[in-house]
Amino acid sequence: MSRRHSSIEFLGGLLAAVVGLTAAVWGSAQGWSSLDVFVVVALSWSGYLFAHHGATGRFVDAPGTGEDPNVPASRKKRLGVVVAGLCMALAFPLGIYALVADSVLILGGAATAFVGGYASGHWLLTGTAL
Amino acid sequence: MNVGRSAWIVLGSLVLCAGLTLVGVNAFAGRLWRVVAGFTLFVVGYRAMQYGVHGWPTIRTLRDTSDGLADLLTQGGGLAASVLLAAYGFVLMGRAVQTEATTPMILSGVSVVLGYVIGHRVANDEVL
Repeated sequence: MSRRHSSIEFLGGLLAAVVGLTAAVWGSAQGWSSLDVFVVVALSWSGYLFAHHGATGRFVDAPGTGEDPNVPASRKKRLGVVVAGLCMALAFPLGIYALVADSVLILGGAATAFVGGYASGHWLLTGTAL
Repeated sequence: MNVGRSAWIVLGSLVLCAGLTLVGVNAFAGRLWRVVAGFTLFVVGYRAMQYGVHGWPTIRTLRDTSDGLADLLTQGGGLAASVLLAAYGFVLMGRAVQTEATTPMILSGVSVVLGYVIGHRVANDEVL
């Protein structure tokens, strides 16, 4: 399996994923048409795919069997994974606050917290950010 | 990567993005079952991409890697719980934006992340 790494592809993809996610949530809440929401969802998903390719050399991982979960032995790493999960969960109240306050900037912060929490938790668990 | 594998990535992504669009446009209108349908499409699109790129399982490989019906039911039940929890979390998010109530605001993130972890654990052997 290829393990080619590209920081530009990874970071550029992650940026597109965050911008697309912000626009998708914002547009959905604002009542955009399905086509408009689809376009920004596609931007976000494409960004994720390229970021994944940049980090691992493949666009999508092989399916698992659900029988052998990857849990780090180190207590510090396990705690880090819990913190990362909390960061993802707390991105929702922050995003809701952003929508109530009509702030696309704060919503971008919430999307960054969600994607950042995911990437750091995934890195602690597997050694790659995606 | 050959053309066939690339085509599965494009096809799976189209299904997945259509699903997430359904999630977005219906979550803020409180339409839970359409959001459930959206996340179901997400799972179908993602799985199609995985199998399309890495190889579809045959009856024989399914038989060899599975302990039988109980295994399949566990996987199916896990994915169903995952989809329901994620969908409920997004509907709660829509409700919280309208009502500004604290409980759905907090529970929305917990429900989505819990749903994601269960689904990812069942589908990919990893919790994230």
